[in-house]
Amino acid sequence: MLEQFNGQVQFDCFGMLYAELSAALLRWDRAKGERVIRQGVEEYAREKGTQLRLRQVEGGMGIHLQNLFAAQPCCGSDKRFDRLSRRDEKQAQLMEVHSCPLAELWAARDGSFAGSLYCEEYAHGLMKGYTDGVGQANVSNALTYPRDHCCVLSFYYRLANMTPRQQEEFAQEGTAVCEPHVWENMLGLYRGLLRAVERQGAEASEALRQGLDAFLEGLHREFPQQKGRMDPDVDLDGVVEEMRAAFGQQE
Amino acid sequence: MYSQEELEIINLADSFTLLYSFLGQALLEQFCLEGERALREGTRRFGRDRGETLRKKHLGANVKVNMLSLFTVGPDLPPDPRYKKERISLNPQERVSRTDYCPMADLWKEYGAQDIGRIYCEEFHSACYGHYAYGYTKVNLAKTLTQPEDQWCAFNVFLRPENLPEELKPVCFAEYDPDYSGPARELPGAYGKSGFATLFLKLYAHIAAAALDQLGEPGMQAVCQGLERMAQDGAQRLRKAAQEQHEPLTLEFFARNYPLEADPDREPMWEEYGTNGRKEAMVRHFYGPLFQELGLVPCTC
Repeated sequence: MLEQFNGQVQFDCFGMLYAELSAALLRWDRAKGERVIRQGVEEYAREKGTQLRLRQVEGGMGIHLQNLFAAQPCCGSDKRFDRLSRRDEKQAQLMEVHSCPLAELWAARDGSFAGSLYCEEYAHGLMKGYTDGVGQANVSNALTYPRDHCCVLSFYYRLANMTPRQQEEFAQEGTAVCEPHVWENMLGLYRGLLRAVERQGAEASEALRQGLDAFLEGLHREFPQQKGRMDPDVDLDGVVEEMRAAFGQQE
Repeated sequence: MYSQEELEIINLADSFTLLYSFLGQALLEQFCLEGERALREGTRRFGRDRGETLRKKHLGANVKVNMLSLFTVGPDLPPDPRYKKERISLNPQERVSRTDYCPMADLWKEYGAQDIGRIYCEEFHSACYGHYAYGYTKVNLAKTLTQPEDQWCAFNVFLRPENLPEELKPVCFAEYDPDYSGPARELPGAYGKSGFATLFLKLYAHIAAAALDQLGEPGMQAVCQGLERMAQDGAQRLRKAAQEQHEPLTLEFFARNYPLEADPDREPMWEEYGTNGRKEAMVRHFYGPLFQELGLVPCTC
Protein backbone atom coordinates (compact mmCIF):
# COMPACT_ATOMS: atom_id res chain seq x y z
CA MET A 1 0.00 0.00 0.00
CA LEU A 2 2.68 2.51 0.99
CA GLU A 3 5.45 1.17 -1.20
CA GLN A 4 5.36 4.28 -3.40
CA PHE A 5 6.53 6.33 -0.40
CA ASN A 6 9.97 6.15 1.09
CA GLY A 7 10.44 4.83 4.63
CA GLN A 8 10.24 8.19 6.36
CA VAL A 9 7.06 9.22 4.59
CA GLN A 10 5.56 5.85 5.45
CA PHE A 11 6.46 6.33 9.07
CA ASP A 12 5.02 9.84 9.04
CA CYS A 13 1.77 8.33 7.79
CA PHE A 14 1.63 6.22 10.91
CA GLY A 15 2.29 9.26 13.11
CA MET A 16 -0.30 11.33 11.25
CA LEU A 17 -2.90 8.61 11.49
CA TYR A 18 -2.47 8.39 15.26
CA ALA A 19 -2.46 12.18 15.59
CA GLU A 20 -5.76 12.58 13.73
CA LEU A 21 -7.55 9.63 15.32
CA SER A 22 -6.51 10.59 18.84
CA ALA A 23 -7.32 14.28 18.29
CA ALA A 24 -10.82 13.40 17.07
CA LEU A 25 -11.43 11.12 20.04
CA LEU A 26 -10.21 13.69 22.57
CA ARG A 27 -12.38 16.36 20.91
CA TRP A 28 -15.37 14.08 21.21
CA ASP A 29 -14.88 13.51 24.94
CA ARG A 30 -11.68 14.23 26.79
CA ALA A 31 -12.07 11.48 29.41
CA LYS A 32 -13.79 8.80 27.36
CA GLY A 33 -11.57 9.62 24.42
CA GLU A 34 -8.52 9.07 26.58
CA ARG A 35 -9.93 5.75 27.74
CA VAL A 36 -10.54 4.63 24.16
CA ILE A 37 -7.07 5.71 23.07
CA ARG A 38 -5.37 3.90 25.94
CA GLN A 39 -7.36 0.73 25.33
CA GLY A 40 -6.89 0.91 21.59
CA VAL A 41 -3.14 1.46 21.73
CA GLU A 42 -2.70 -1.27 24.32
CA GLU A 43 -4.73 -3.70 22.26
CA TYR A 44 -2.86 -2.82 19.07
CA ALA A 45 0.53 -3.25 20.73
CA ARG A 46 -0.43 -6.48 22.47
CA GLU A 47 -1.81 -7.95 19.26
CA LYS A 48 1.30 -6.85 17.38
CA GLY A 49 3.56 -8.50 19.98
CA THR A 50 1.52 -11.69 19.92
CA GLN A 51 1.54 -11.91 16.12
CA LEU A 52 5.27 -11.25 15.97
CA ARG A 53 5.93 -14.00 18.50
CA LEU A 54 3.79 -16.47 16.56
CA ARG A 55 5.56 -15.60 13.29
CA GLN A 56 8.97 -15.93 14.89
CA VAL A 57 8.15 -19.25 16.55
CA GLU A 58 6.99 -20.60 13.22
CA GLY A 59 10.14 -19.30 11.55
CA GLY A 60 12.38 -21.04 14.08
CA MET A 61 13.53 -17.78 15.62
CA GLY A 62 14.33 -17.43 19.30
CA ILE A 63 11.68 -15.63 21.31
CA HIS A 64 13.76 -13.16 23.22
CA LEU A 65 14.34 -9.44 23.44
CA GLN A 66 17.08 -9.28 20.82
CA ASN A 67 14.76 -10.75 18.26
CA LEU A 68 11.84 -8.61 19.40
CA PHE A 69 13.79 -5.41 18.94
CA ALA A 70 15.53 -6.60 15.79
CA ALA A 71 12.11 -7.04 14.22
CA GLN A 72 10.38 -4.05 15.83
CA PRO A 73 12.97 -1.63 17.16
CA CYS A 74 11.15 -0.13 20.10
CA CYS A 75 8.66 2.39 18.68
CA GLY A 76 9.69 2.06 15.04
CA SER A 77 12.53 1.42 12.62
CA ASP A 78 12.62 4.89 11.10
CA LYS A 79 16.16 6.20 10.63
CA ARG A 80 15.32 9.46 12.36
CA PHE A 81 15.18 7.72 15.74
CA ASP A 82 18.35 8.59 17.61
CA ARG A 83 18.72 5.59 19.90
CA LEU A 84 21.41 4.74 22.37
CA SER A 85 21.49 1.07 23.24
CA ARG A 86 22.87 0.70 26.74
CA ARG A 87 22.47 -3.05 26.92
CA ASP A 88 21.51 -5.43 24.16
CA GLU A 89 20.90 -8.92 25.52
CA LYS A 90 18.34 -11.63 25.05
CA GLN A 91 16.95 -11.17 28.56
CA ALA A 92 17.47 -7.44 29.01
CA GLN A 93 17.42 -4.37 26.82
CA LEU A 94 18.29 -0.92 28.10
CA MET A 95 18.00 2.06 25.81
CA GLU A 96 17.58 5.77 25.54
CA VAL A 97 15.93 7.62 22.68
CA HIS A 98 17.24 11.13 22.13
CA SER A 99 15.21 11.97 19.07
CA CYS A 100 11.86 10.49 18.03
CA PRO A 101 10.05 11.41 14.79
CA LEU A 102 6.72 10.48 16.34
CA ALA A 103 7.19 12.82 19.31
CA GLU A 104 8.26 15.61 16.94
CA LEU A 105 5.34 15.09 14.58
CA TRP A 106 2.85 14.98 17.45
CA ALA A 107 4.35 18.04 19.14
CA ALA A 108 4.11 19.98 15.85
CA ARG A 109 0.38 19.18 15.81
CA ASP A 110 -0.21 20.08 19.44
CA GLY A 111 -0.65 16.38 20.08
CA SER A 112 1.93 15.72 22.77
CA PHE A 113 -0.69 14.77 25.35
CA ALA A 114 -2.17 12.17 23.01
CA GLY A 115 1.41 11.13 22.27
CA SER A 116 2.07 10.57 25.95
CA LEU A 117 -0.92 8.22 26.09
CA TYR A 118 0.68 6.22 23.28
CA CYS A 119 4.01 6.10 25.11
CA GLU A 120 2.36 5.05 28.36
CA GLU A 121 0.55 2.13 26.76
CA TYR A 122 2.51 0.94 23.74
CA ALA A 123 5.67 -0.59 25.22
CA HIS A 124 3.75 -2.34 27.98
CA GLY A 125 1.29 -3.79 25.49
CA LEU A 126 3.99 -4.93 23.08
CA MET A 127 5.88 -6.74 25.84
CA LYS A 128 2.71 -8.30 27.18
CA GLY A 129 1.87 -9.74 23.78
CA TYR A 130 5.36 -10.83 22.82
CA THR A 131 6.17 -12.50 26.14
CA ASP A 132 2.65 -13.66 26.97
CA GLY A 133 2.59 -11.46 30.06
CA VAL A 134 5.88 -12.64 31.51
CA GLY A 135 8.21 -9.83 30.42
CA GLN A 136 8.44 -6.36 31.83
CA ALA A 137 8.57 -2.97 30.12
CA ASN A 138 9.69 0.22 31.83
CA VAL A 139 9.29 3.67 30.34
CA SER A 140 10.60 6.06 32.95
CA ASN A 141 11.01 9.05 30.68
CA ALA A 142 9.43 9.85 27.33
CA LEU A 143 9.91 12.61 24.79
CA THR A 144 6.16 13.20 24.78
CA TYR A 145 6.33 14.39 28.41
CA PRO A 146 7.12 18.12 28.63
CA ARG A 147 9.49 17.43 31.54
CA ASP A 148 11.73 14.96 29.68
CA HIS A 149 14.50 15.45 27.15
CA CYS A 150 14.88 11.79 26.19
CA CYS A 151 13.08 8.47 26.53
CA VAL A 152 14.57 6.06 29.06
CA LEU A 153 13.45 2.49 28.56
CA SER A 154 14.26 -0.93 29.88
CA PHE A 155 12.81 -4.33 29.11
CA TYR A 156 13.30 -7.64 30.87
CA TYR A 157 12.31 -11.14 29.89
CA ARG A 158 13.92 -13.50 32.36
CA LEU A 159 14.51 -17.20 31.84
CA ALA A 160 13.68 -17.75 35.49
CA ASN A 161 10.18 -16.36 34.95
CA MET A 162 9.43 -18.33 31.79
CA THR A 163 7.32 -21.43 31.41
CA PRO A 164 9.08 -24.53 30.01
CA ARG A 165 7.54 -23.81 26.59
CA GLN A 166 8.84 -20.27 26.66
CA GLN A 167 12.29 -21.53 27.62
CA GLU A 168 12.25 -23.81 24.59
CA GLU A 169 11.21 -20.95 22.33
CA PHE A 170 13.85 -18.73 23.87
CA ALA A 171 16.50 -21.28 22.92
CA GLN A 172 15.57 -21.42 19.22
CA GLU A 173 18.53 -20.28 17.17
CA GLY A 174 17.05 -18.28 14.30
CA THR A 175 17.68 -14.55 14.33
CA ALA A 176 15.12 -11.96 13.32
CA VAL A 177 15.38 -9.21 10.76
CA CYS A 178 13.72 -5.83 10.80
CA GLU A 179 10.03 -5.92 9.87
CA PRO A 180 8.93 -2.28 9.48
CA HIS A 181 5.42 -3.27 8.32
CA VAL A 182 4.24 0.32 8.63
CA TRP A 183 1.03 -0.24 6.73
CA GLU A 184 0.16 -3.32 8.77
CA ASN A 185 0.85 -1.29 11.90
CA MET A 186 -1.49 1.44 10.70
CA LEU A 187 -4.23 -1.09 10.13
CA GLY A 188 -3.50 -2.69 13.48
CA LEU A 189 -3.67 0.64 15.28
CA TYR A 190 -6.96 1.48 13.60
CA ARG A 191 -8.32 -1.97 14.44
CA GLY A 192 -7.34 -1.58 18.09
CA LEU A 193 -9.03 1.81 18.33
CA LEU A 194 -12.04 0.53 16.45
CA ARG A 195 -12.60 -2.25 18.98
CA ALA A 196 -12.23 0.25 21.81
CA VAL A 197 -14.74 2.72 20.34
CA GLU A 198 -17.24 -0.04 19.70
CA ARG A 199 -17.37 -0.57 23.46
CA GLN A 200 -18.23 3.13 23.88
CA GLY A 201 -21.11 3.40 21.43
CA ALA A 202 -22.08 5.21 18.25
CA GLU A 203 -20.74 8.67 19.13
CA ALA A 204 -17.29 7.27 19.73
CA SER A 205 -17.41 5.37 16.45
CA GLU A 206 -18.40 8.56 14.67
CA ALA A 207 -15.49 10.43 16.25
CA LEU A 208 -13.08 7.78 15.05
CA ARG A 209 -14.53 7.97 11.56
CA GLN A 210 -14.04 11.72 11.58
CA GLY A 211 -10.44 11.22 12.63
CA LEU A 212 -9.89 8.79 9.77
CA ASP A 213 -11.41 11.25 7.29
CA ALA A 214 -9.17 14.01 8.63
CA PHE A 215 -6.14 11.76 8.16
CA LEU A 216 -7.02 10.81 4.59
CA GLU A 217 -7.85 14.39 3.63
CA GLY A 218 -4.68 15.53 5.32
CA LEU A 219 -2.60 13.35 3.03
CA HIS A 220 -3.57 15.58 0.09
CA ARG A 221 -2.65 18.66 2.08
CA GLU A 222 0.61 17.35 3.51
CA PHE A 223 2.09 15.29 0.72
CA PRO A 224 3.04 18.03 -1.71
CA GLN A 225 5.44 19.11 1.06
CA GLN A 226 7.04 15.69 0.99
CA LYS A 227 8.41 16.16 -2.54
CA GLY A 228 11.73 14.41 -2.98
CA ARG A 229 10.83 11.81 -0.37
CA MET A 230 8.41 9.92 -2.59
CA ASP A 231 7.98 8.66 -6.12
CA PRO A 232 7.14 11.79 -8.21
CA ASP A 233 4.63 9.78 -10.22
CA VAL A 234 2.73 8.57 -7.18
CA ASP A 235 -1.00 8.47 -7.67
CA LEU A 236 -1.98 10.05 -4.38
CA ASP A 237 -5.71 9.95 -5.06
CA GLY A 238 -5.42 6.26 -5.84
CA VAL A 239 -3.44 5.54 -2.68
CA VAL A 240 -5.90 7.45 -0.51
CA GLU A 241 -8.84 5.57 -1.96
CA GLU A 242 -7.10 2.25 -1.49
CA MET A 243 -6.37 3.20 2.11
CA ARG A 244 -9.96 4.24 2.70
CA ALA A 245 -11.15 0.89 1.39
CA ALA A 246 -8.65 -1.03 3.48
CA PHE A 247 -9.57 0.82 6.67
CA GLY A 248 -13.23 0.27 5.83
CA GLN A 249 -12.61 -3.46 5.65
CA GLN A 250 -11.49 -3.42 9.27
CA GLU A 251 -14.99 -2.42 10.36
CA MET B 1 27.36 12.29 61.73
CA TYR B 2 24.30 10.23 62.49
CA SER B 3 22.48 10.32 65.82
CA GLN B 4 22.20 7.23 68.00
CA GLU B 5 18.65 6.67 66.77
CA GLU B 6 19.71 7.04 63.16
CA LEU B 7 22.53 4.56 63.63
CA GLU B 8 20.05 2.04 64.98
CA ILE B 9 17.78 2.62 62.00
CA ILE B 10 20.72 2.11 59.66
CA ASN B 11 21.58 -1.19 61.36
CA LEU B 12 17.97 -2.34 61.13
CA ALA B 13 17.76 -1.36 57.46
CA ASP B 14 21.03 -3.06 56.55
CA SER B 15 19.97 -6.29 58.23
CA PHE B 16 16.80 -6.31 56.16
CA THR B 17 18.83 -5.69 53.00
CA LEU B 18 21.28 -8.47 53.80
CA LEU B 19 18.52 -10.96 54.59
CA TYR B 20 17.56 -10.75 50.93
CA SER B 21 21.04 -11.28 49.57
CA PHE B 22 21.92 -14.14 51.95
CA LEU B 23 18.74 -16.04 51.10
CA GLY B 24 19.06 -15.20 47.42
CA GLN B 25 22.68 -16.25 47.15
CA ALA B 26 22.00 -19.57 48.88
CA LEU B 27 19.10 -20.33 46.55
CA LEU B 28 20.99 -19.40 43.40
CA GLU B 29 24.13 -21.27 44.42
CA GLN B 30 22.27 -24.49 45.07
CA PHE B 31 19.57 -24.40 42.43
CA CYS B 32 20.76 -21.96 39.74
CA LEU B 33 17.82 -21.05 37.52
CA GLU B 34 15.25 -22.84 39.67
CA GLY B 35 16.60 -21.06 42.73
CA GLU B 36 16.26 -17.76 40.91
CA ARG B 37 12.70 -18.68 39.98
CA ALA B 38 11.85 -19.29 43.64
CA LEU B 39 13.56 -16.06 44.71
CA ARG B 40 11.67 -14.04 42.12
CA GLU B 41 8.39 -15.64 43.13
CA GLY B 42 9.08 -15.03 46.83
CA THR B 43 9.93 -11.41 46.08
CA ARG B 44 6.69 -10.93 44.18
CA ARG B 45 4.69 -12.49 47.03
CA PHE B 46 6.42 -10.14 49.45
CA GLY B 47 5.54 -7.19 47.20
CA ARG B 48 1.93 -8.23 46.84
CA ASP B 49 1.60 -8.76 50.59
CA ARG B 50 2.88 -5.24 51.28
CA GLY B 51 0.72 -3.72 48.57
CA GLU B 52 -2.38 -5.47 49.82
CA THR B 53 -1.72 -4.66 53.47
CA LEU B 54 -1.33 -0.97 52.66
CA ARG B 55 -4.42 -0.93 50.46
CA LYS B 56 -6.53 -2.51 53.24
CA LYS B 57 -5.11 -0.01 55.72
CA HIS B 58 -6.05 2.85 53.41
CA LEU B 59 -9.54 1.56 52.73
CA GLY B 60 -10.08 1.06 56.47
CA ALA B 61 -9.24 4.72 57.07
CA ASN B 62 -11.29 6.01 54.11
CA VAL B 63 -8.15 6.98 52.23
CA LYS B 64 -8.25 6.89 48.42
CA VAL B 65 -6.20 4.15 46.78
CA ASN B 66 -3.90 6.15 44.57
CA MET B 67 -0.30 7.13 44.04
CA LEU B 68 -0.28 10.00 46.50
CA SER B 69 -1.63 7.68 49.19
CA LEU B 70 0.70 4.85 48.24
CA PHE B 71 3.79 6.95 48.81
CA THR B 72 2.71 9.31 51.58
CA VAL B 73 -0.08 7.89 53.73
CA GLY B 74 1.14 5.50 56.41
CA PRO B 75 3.88 3.97 54.27
CA ASP B 76 5.24 0.67 55.51
CA LEU B 77 8.85 1.47 54.62
CA PRO B 78 10.50 3.15 57.58
CA PRO B 79 12.59 6.20 56.70
CA ASP B 80 16.34 5.68 56.34
CA PRO B 81 18.43 8.87 56.60
CA ARG B 82 20.90 7.77 53.93
CA TYR B 83 18.59 7.85 50.90
CA LYS B 84 19.09 10.71 48.47
CA LYS B 85 15.93 11.19 46.42
CA GLU B 86 14.55 13.87 44.19
CA ARG B 87 10.81 14.05 43.82
CA ILE B 88 9.86 15.27 40.36
CA SER B 89 6.11 14.85 40.50
CA LEU B 90 3.76 13.50 43.13
CA ASN B 91 -0.02 13.61 42.91
CA PRO B 92 -2.89 11.10 43.08
CA GLN B 93 -2.15 9.92 39.54
CA GLU B 94 1.63 9.69 39.52
CA ARG B 95 4.86 9.63 41.35
CA VAL B 96 7.93 10.49 39.33
CA SER B 97 11.21 10.51 41.19
CA ARG B 98 14.86 9.68 41.01
CA THR B 99 17.00 8.09 43.68
CA ASP B 100 20.61 9.16 43.57
CA TYR B 101 21.74 7.11 46.53
CA CYS B 102 20.23 3.83 47.71
CA PRO B 103 21.81 2.17 50.74
CA MET B 104 20.37 -1.19 49.71
CA ALA B 105 22.08 -1.10 46.31
CA ASP B 106 25.31 0.04 47.92
CA LEU B 107 25.30 -2.76 50.48
CA TRP B 108 24.51 -5.42 47.89
CA LYS B 109 27.41 -4.13 45.83
CA GLU B 110 29.70 -4.30 48.86
CA TYR B 111 28.69 -7.94 49.42
CA GLY B 112 29.11 -8.89 45.76
CA ALA B 113 25.36 -9.38 45.45
CA GLN B 114 24.40 -6.72 42.95
CA ASP B 115 22.81 -9.36 40.71
CA ILE B 116 20.64 -10.50 43.61
CA GLY B 117 19.66 -6.91 44.35
CA ARG B 118 18.77 -6.53 40.71
CA ILE B 119 16.19 -9.30 41.14
CA TYR B 120 14.68 -7.43 44.07
CA CYS B 121 14.36 -4.20 42.09
CA GLU B 122 12.85 -5.98 39.12
CA GLU B 123 10.25 -7.97 41.00
CA PHE B 124 9.38 -6.10 44.19
CA HIS B 125 8.32 -2.68 42.91
CA SER B 126 6.18 -3.98 40.12
CA ALA B 127 4.41 -6.49 42.39
CA CYS B 128 3.88 -4.11 45.31
CA TYR B 129 2.79 -0.96 43.49
CA GLY B 130 0.83 -2.95 40.92
CA HIS B 131 -1.07 -5.04 43.45
CA TYR B 132 -1.77 -2.05 45.69
CA ALA B 133 -4.03 -0.47 43.05
CA TYR B 134 -5.82 -3.65 42.00
CA GLY B 135 -3.31 -4.38 39.24
CA TYR B 136 -3.90 -1.11 37.39
CA THR B 137 -0.73 0.74 38.38
CA LYS B 138 1.87 1.06 35.64
CA VAL B 139 5.28 0.70 37.20
CA ASN B 140 8.25 2.03 35.24
CA LEU B 141 11.70 1.68 36.71
CA ALA B 142 13.95 1.94 33.69
CA LYS B 143 17.12 2.80 35.60
CA THR B 144 18.17 1.32 38.89
CA LEU B 145 21.29 1.55 40.99
CA THR B 146 21.49 -2.25 40.98
CA GLN B 147 22.25 -2.11 37.27
CA PRO B 148 25.92 -1.48 36.45
CA GLU B 149 24.99 0.92 33.64
CA ASP B 150 22.96 3.24 35.87
CA GLN B 151 23.82 6.12 38.18
CA TRP B 152 20.35 6.58 39.61
CA CYS B 153 16.94 4.93 39.89
CA ALA B 154 14.30 6.42 37.60
CA PHE B 155 10.77 5.85 38.92
CA ASN B 156 7.66 6.70 36.93
CA VAL B 157 4.72 5.04 38.65
CA PHE B 158 1.23 6.01 37.60
CA LEU B 159 -2.42 5.16 37.97
CA ARG B 160 -4.65 6.77 35.35
CA PRO B 161 -8.39 7.05 36.01
CA GLU B 162 -9.07 6.13 32.40
CA ASN B 163 -7.33 2.80 32.86
CA LEU B 164 -9.67 1.89 35.71
CA PRO B 165 -13.07 0.21 35.52
CA GLU B 166 -15.80 2.73 36.36
CA GLU B 167 -16.52 1.16 39.75
CA LEU B 168 -12.95 1.70 40.93
CA LYS B 169 -12.69 5.36 39.98
CA PRO B 170 -14.41 6.62 43.16
CA VAL B 171 -12.36 4.18 45.25
CA CYS B 172 -9.15 5.68 43.87
CA PHE B 173 -9.82 9.33 43.14
CA ALA B 174 -11.74 11.88 45.21
CA GLU B 175 -13.02 13.77 42.16
CA TYR B 176 -15.10 10.73 41.18
CA ASP B 177 -16.61 10.43 44.67
CA PRO B 178 -18.84 13.46 45.30
CA ASP B 179 -19.70 12.34 48.84
CA TYR B 180 -16.11 11.82 49.87
CA SER B 181 -15.48 13.26 53.32
CA GLY B 182 -11.74 12.68 53.53
CA PRO B 183 -9.68 10.27 55.61
CA ALA B 184 -11.27 9.00 58.80
CA ARG B 185 -8.01 9.26 60.71
CA GLU B 186 -4.33 9.87 60.29
CA LEU B 187 -2.25 6.84 59.48
CA PRO B 188 1.25 6.95 60.89
CA GLY B 189 4.03 5.56 58.75
CA ALA B 190 6.16 2.62 59.80
CA TYR B 191 9.12 3.58 61.87
CA GLY B 192 12.36 2.08 63.13
CA LYS B 193 12.33 -1.29 64.81
CA SER B 194 8.68 -2.21 64.40
CA GLY B 195 8.71 -1.17 60.76
CA PHE B 196 11.79 -3.13 59.83
CA ALA B 197 10.68 -6.11 61.92
CA THR B 198 7.52 -6.35 59.82
CA LEU B 199 9.39 -6.12 56.54
CA PHE B 200 12.08 -8.55 57.68
CA LEU B 201 9.64 -11.23 58.78
CA LYS B 202 7.49 -10.89 55.69
CA LEU B 203 10.46 -11.04 53.35
CA TYR B 204 11.88 -14.12 55.05
CA ALA B 205 8.51 -15.84 55.24
CA HIS B 206 7.64 -15.30 51.58
CA ILE B 207 11.01 -16.36 50.22
CA ALA B 208 11.06 -19.44 52.45
CA ALA B 209 7.51 -20.31 51.41
CA ALA B 210 8.31 -19.92 47.71
CA ALA B 211 11.46 -22.03 48.13
CA LEU B 212 9.47 -24.74 49.87
CA ASP B 213 6.65 -24.62 47.34
CA GLN B 214 8.87 -24.70 44.28
CA LEU B 215 11.91 -26.67 45.41
CA GLY B 216 10.57 -28.77 48.26
CA GLU B 217 12.53 -29.57 51.40
CA PRO B 218 15.92 -29.02 49.68
CA GLY B 219 14.76 -25.47 48.96
CA MET B 220 14.11 -24.92 52.63
CA GLN B 221 17.54 -26.36 53.41
CA ALA B 222 19.11 -23.74 51.13
CA VAL B 223 17.18 -21.05 52.99
CA CYS B 224 18.54 -22.44 56.27
CA GLN B 225 22.06 -22.29 54.90
CA GLY B 226 21.45 -18.66 53.99
CA LEU B 227 20.29 -18.01 57.56
CA GLU B 228 23.44 -19.60 58.99
CA ARG B 229 25.67 -17.41 56.82
CA MET B 230 23.61 -14.40 57.79
CA ALA B 231 24.13 -15.30 61.46
CA GLN B 232 27.92 -15.35 61.04
CA ASP B 233 27.90 -12.06 59.20
CA GLY B 234 25.32 -10.58 61.59
CA ALA B 235 27.54 -11.38 64.58
CA GLN B 236 30.42 -9.46 63.04
CA ARG B 237 28.24 -6.52 62.10
CA LEU B 238 26.64 -6.34 65.55
CA ARG B 239 30.06 -6.43 67.23
CA LYS B 240 31.25 -3.61 65.00
CA ALA B 241 28.06 -1.61 65.58
CA ALA B 242 28.32 -1.96 69.37
CA GLN B 243 31.93 -0.84 69.24
CA GLU B 244 31.09 2.18 67.10
CA GLN B 245 28.20 3.14 69.37
CA HIS B 246 30.35 2.55 72.51
CA GLU B 247 27.83 0.15 73.95
CA PRO B 248 28.07 -3.39 75.32
CA LEU B 249 26.70 -6.05 73.01
CA THR B 250 23.72 -7.25 75.01
CA LEU B 251 20.35 -8.74 74.12
CA GLU B 252 18.94 -5.27 74.56
CA PHE B 253 21.42 -3.87 72.04
CA PHE B 254 20.48 -6.68 69.67
CA ALA B 255 16.81 -5.84 70.08
CA ARG B 256 17.36 -2.19 69.20
CA ASN B 257 19.69 -2.84 66.25
CA TYR B 258 18.33 -6.00 64.65
CA PRO B 259 14.86 -6.36 63.13
CA LEU B 260 14.08 -9.51 65.13
CA GLU B 261 12.99 -9.72 68.77
CA ALA B 262 15.65 -11.14 71.09
CA ASP B 263 13.05 -13.69 72.16
CA PRO B 264 11.14 -14.95 69.11
CA ASP B 265 8.17 -15.92 71.29
CA ARG B 266 7.58 -12.23 71.88
CA GLU B 267 7.05 -11.60 68.17
CA PRO B 268 3.32 -11.96 67.38
CA MET B 269 3.88 -11.93 63.62
CA TRP B 270 5.32 -15.44 63.75
CA GLU B 271 1.82 -16.73 64.28
CA GLU B 272 0.96 -15.84 60.68
CA TYR B 273 4.39 -15.90 59.09
CA GLY B 274 6.13 -18.68 61.02
CA THR B 275 4.06 -21.66 59.89
CA ASN B 276 5.44 -24.67 58.01
CA GLY B 277 8.62 -24.68 60.07
CA ARG B 278 9.66 -21.17 59.14
CA LYS B 279 9.88 -19.93 62.72
CA GLU B 280 11.73 -23.05 63.86
CA ALA B 281 14.18 -22.68 60.97
CA MET B 282 14.93 -19.11 62.01
CA VAL B 283 15.45 -20.15 65.63
CA ARG B 284 17.70 -23.07 64.81
CA HIS B 285 19.69 -21.66 61.93
CA PHE B 286 19.90 -17.98 62.80
CA TYR B 287 19.26 -17.30 66.50
CA GLY B 288 21.25 -20.33 67.69
CA PRO B 289 24.51 -19.70 65.78
CA LEU B 290 24.28 -15.93 66.20
CA PHE B 291 23.82 -15.97 69.97
CA GLN B 292 26.43 -18.68 70.34
CA GLU B 293 28.92 -16.62 68.34
CA LEU B 294 28.16 -13.52 70.40
CA GLY B 295 28.12 -15.36 73.71
CA LEU B 296 24.63 -14.12 74.45
CA VAL B 297 22.16 -16.16 76.47
CA PRO B 298 20.25 -18.14 73.89
CA CYS B 299 16.54 -17.73 73.63
CA THR B 300 14.46 -20.19 75.58
CA CYS B 301 12.27 -21.48 72.78
